[in-house]
Amino acid sequence: MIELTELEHDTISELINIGVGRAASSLSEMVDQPVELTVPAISFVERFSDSELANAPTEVVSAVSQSFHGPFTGEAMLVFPEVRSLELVRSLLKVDVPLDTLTDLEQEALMEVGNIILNACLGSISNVLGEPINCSMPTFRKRETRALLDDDTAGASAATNPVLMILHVQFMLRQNDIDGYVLFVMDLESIQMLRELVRRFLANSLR
Amino acid sequence: MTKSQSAKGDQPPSFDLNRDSDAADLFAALLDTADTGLIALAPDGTICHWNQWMQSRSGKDADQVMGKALHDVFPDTKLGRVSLAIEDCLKFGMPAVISPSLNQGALPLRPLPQFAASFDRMEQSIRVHPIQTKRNGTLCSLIIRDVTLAVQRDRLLRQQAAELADLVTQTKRSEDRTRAILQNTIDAILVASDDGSIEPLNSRAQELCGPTGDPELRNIIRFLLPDSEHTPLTPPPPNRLLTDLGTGVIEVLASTLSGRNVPLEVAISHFSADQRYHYIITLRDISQRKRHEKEIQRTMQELERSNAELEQFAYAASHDLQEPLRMVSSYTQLLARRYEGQLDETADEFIHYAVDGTQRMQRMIDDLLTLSRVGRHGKPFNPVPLDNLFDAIVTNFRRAGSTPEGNIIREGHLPTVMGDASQLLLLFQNLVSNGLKYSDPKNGQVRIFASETSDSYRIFVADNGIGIDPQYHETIFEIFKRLHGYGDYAGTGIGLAICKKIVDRHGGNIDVTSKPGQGSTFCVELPKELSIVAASESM
Amino acid sequence: MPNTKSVLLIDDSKFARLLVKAFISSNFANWEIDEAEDGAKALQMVDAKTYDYMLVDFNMPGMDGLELGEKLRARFPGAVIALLTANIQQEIQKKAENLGLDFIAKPPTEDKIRDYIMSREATR
Repeated sequence: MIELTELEHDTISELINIGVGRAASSLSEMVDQPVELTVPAISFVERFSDSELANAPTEVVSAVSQSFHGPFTGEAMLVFPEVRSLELVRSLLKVDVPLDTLTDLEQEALMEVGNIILNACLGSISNVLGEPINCSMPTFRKRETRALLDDDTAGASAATNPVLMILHVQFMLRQNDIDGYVLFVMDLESIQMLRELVRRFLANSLR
Repeated sequence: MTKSQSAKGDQPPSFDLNRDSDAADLFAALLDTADTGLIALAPDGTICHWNQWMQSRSGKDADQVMGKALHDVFPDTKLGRVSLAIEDCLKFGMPAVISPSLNQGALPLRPLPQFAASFDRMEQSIRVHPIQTKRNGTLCSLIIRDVTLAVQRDRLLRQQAAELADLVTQTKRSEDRTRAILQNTIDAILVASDDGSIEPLNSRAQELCGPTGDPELRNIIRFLLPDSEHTPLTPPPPNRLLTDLGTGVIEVLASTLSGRNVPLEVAISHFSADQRYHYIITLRDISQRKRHEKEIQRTMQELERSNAELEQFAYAASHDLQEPLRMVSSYTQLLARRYEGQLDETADEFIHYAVDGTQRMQRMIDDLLTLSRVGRHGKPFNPVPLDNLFDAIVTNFRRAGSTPEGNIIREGHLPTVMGDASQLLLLFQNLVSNGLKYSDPKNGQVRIFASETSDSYRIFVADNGIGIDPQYHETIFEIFKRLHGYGDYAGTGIGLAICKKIVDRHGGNIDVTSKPGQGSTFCVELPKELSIVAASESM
Repeated sequence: MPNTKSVLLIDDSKFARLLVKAFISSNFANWEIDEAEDGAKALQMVDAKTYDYMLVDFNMPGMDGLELGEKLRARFPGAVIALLTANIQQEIQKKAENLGLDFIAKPPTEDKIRDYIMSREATR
């Protein structure tokens, strides 16, 4: 079970918000248009099937994922329904001739967007908690929601029961708002470590 | 390694990765031959490796850049995202993807010559990676790939997609327009192919050939098409073909299941497509026209009937009136002969009026009979040389002694026309006599001349008489229209009516141009080719 | 610091408020520090009390930091008002500047908060 006090929850939420705020700034500067990113909700679920995302199991989603390891280990993912990901990339790139699917270049751009957001979230946590987190290069995957967490490399990490921290993220661009999710997939041990670090940090700061 | 070592016996291996210098040589060579840009940055952000590829694409030698930060190597370039990524990498160990779409020409590198025309800078896909070392802490590597070709392809693809989308829009617009025109055409349009299929193209055609239309119509159309070898021909019921196919105008009767009979004019044209022959069949609803045709036919019949009745009446009346008139005429003449001078003067005068009256009445009845005969006793048309005809007229007048020598003048040659010779004689004799009658008896003169148009002859009879006021030019050809009292000029008032009737029967026209005191010119216009009506009447 | 100042922290994150409060009170003893979790609450509080410093989070549900900053600036032309945000986009910075708001990048650190307040105190 994941038991967080309100303050712990709030702390993680604030750290994530600081992260996405920085990500929005970077993106905005890169695409030369206002980009706002907010995290309206953070939830913890013990089974992926309990998440809001799993409500549409056959919907095709685009995901950018990076694994991370350090004091806590897991995988961070930025997930959009495929149509939303097309919208996002195209409004960021100001594409006027939309094609039916993401082109290689658009896919790489989406990967960069995911990379910026995930790095910012992980970096914000790492920075404030004072613990370095190593993470991998982002990878891109496109598949049905129900298969989102299937590990196509080994299946070793998927075997342990993951716990999910799910952030609902909202892009506010010039023309439209685009909703997506950031998932932190960790095992129970890692999430307890995260909570422990947060507690320690709070105790230190609020002495 | 161990295996090869043992295989070669005691000989030291020529190359040993465990030997630092060998390894360094190999890795340096590998890095320099790589087809990607490789940069390594020390923890303080200064460059500690810059491979051959970077040297050639940036134009900066390794010696120039070693130990410098990237922003000092490229002072004129805003390295925004690259700098931040390097910072995060060195500080937090975060890797980064730097895509060409979000960062155009992130580093100021030269494109290959073949792209120089359309690209100022090489398009790059960059990976920023932390490298943990035992001795030096976290380094940062940049791997730079040249993706200019991919970007160029992407641009081309989008351009083509845009052009395609444009084309589709245009095609669709023009298709919509064509369809609208087709659908809103009043005529039914169908297309038939040489395999015997017939397809309605618009809603009107669908109506006629559809479920509530005429089940027979497709068969009729197939029958009308020139080439129907694929389907056995069953001639349609004869009452469904309104016109004889020989005339070129095809009219058929559609009998729809909704209970309407629609006469249709069929037009067939053809075109080739897909190496096949197709026919376009246009069906035009001619109900309206048919109704009008019927109406005209009915009116014509009615008119003919009443004309015939009238002629019959005129004939019977004039014929039957002659008998009692002859009796009155004989006895008044007898009275005049026997008793002239034996009664008083007044009696003589009365008898004279009675005789004169009966004579005039006799002439009128004669003329009426002539008039009614024009329609009833016409002879077949033959070529009539008008020169000969006028010779006879002049002779007639001379014999009657009613005209001085040389007052009937012919100017030029007169044509030969098709007609009833005796009626034409009557016509021109009347006109000449008319001209002489209304002229000074001594100086009266009638000139006859002719002209011709592309489809008619015009024969003019001109006098130098009293002329006719224009207000009477129309009415003088009506029966019993006299412009003058009986005392002034002889005549029954039927002569010009007879002329008119004869000209009508010959499919021609008669009119007059005149001014009072300046003579009159009558013009008879006769067609060169007889119209069907006139010809059939002449049979 | 001889004289006591009053500070109002407006942030929907309790954690952020705690953090900033801890940084201020450890450097400026005896300062009065009040908290509000959203704009509406903050506007109520400034009815009852006048503050020398108002530190406003940008990203809040309901009224955002810029809107609140504008209202506060209108009522307290002389107060020090700062916008705290991780979002350092030019556009937001420019808007803040136009409203006469200072700009502090998140995450807040002890150094950042202390240096900021010291510099403002010095110019008073």
